[in-house]
Amino acid sequence: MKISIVTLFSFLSFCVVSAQNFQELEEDQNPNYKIVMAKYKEYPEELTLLEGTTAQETYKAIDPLEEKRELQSQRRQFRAQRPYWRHQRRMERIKNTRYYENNNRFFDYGYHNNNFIGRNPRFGNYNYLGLGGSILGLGLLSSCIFD
Amino acid sequence: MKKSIFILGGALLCLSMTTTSCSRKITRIATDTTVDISGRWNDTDSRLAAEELSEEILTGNWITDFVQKSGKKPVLIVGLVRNKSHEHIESETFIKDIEKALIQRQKARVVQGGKMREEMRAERSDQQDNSSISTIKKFGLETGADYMLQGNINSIVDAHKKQKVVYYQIDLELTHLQTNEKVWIGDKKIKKLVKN
Repeated sequence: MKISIVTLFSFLSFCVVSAQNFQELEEDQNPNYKIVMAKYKEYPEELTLLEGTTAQETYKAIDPLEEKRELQSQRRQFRAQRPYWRHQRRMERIKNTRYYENNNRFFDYGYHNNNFIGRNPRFGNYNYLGLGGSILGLGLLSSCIFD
Repeated sequence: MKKSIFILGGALLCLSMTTTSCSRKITRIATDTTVDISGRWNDTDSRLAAEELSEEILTGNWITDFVQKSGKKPVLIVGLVRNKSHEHIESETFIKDIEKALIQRQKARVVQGGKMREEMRAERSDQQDNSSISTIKKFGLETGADYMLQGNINSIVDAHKKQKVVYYQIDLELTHLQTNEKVWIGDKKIKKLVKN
């Protein structure tokens, strides 16, 4: 008895729900419209806020004369900036005086190695010729002693 | 004596030349006069586009069709206009003229959209707390648009040495919001020859 009542109730509720759904649909309306509606309800403002405005999707036209003018203006701007860059460079030099002195050859009193490898910044602190010379000297000395 | 007069005259001439050469001269001119300076998109192009497109949209069959079908004036909303040309063009200058023509001639109704509509809603929301009850405007009673006006601006540039031909095409489309059916398409084409 109980089972039959539950079945009847569920059947009736199903009928009511389906009838409601059926009533909502207009003639020839796609029944899946709610899926799309939910999708567009997620981000409505992004699209609607741009209404009545102009989206600037411009391109650069091929115009040699215009390009020439642009290059000229760029050059002018570059020239105008040059004194400022020079000033900045001077200020940096003043800040880093130590770095500046090390790079100045005028103050190089010859304390550094004067051979090719010693002068070459690639080899940095390594003194290959000095090491080789000392090994050679040691070898000669040992040969003199042991002979 | 003669020498001093001569020097004074020369100084005055120099002074007058410098003051006149550096001073800027500004004159008010009628808004419908055509003045082309750089050859780029200008107010005259915008005005010509507005005039032609307004005329086209007002004389289109879509209005009579809608009135016959529903018995009321169509409601319009302005959508996005894409400027795909090579110049910065603001469509608002001619779109507003079209809206104005539609409202003034009572052919269609225009509803607010975009950021201005958001402002309206914000104000309505503010009224719910701050306005007297008899003057509160309710939510959910906005007029839904029947059509949306959208558009594109395109351009073609052909330049060689000191000559240039620029072609602009403005396309406006009116689409039914329910059916996505395009009921009206209007265009304005402008061609310019620029000699440097």
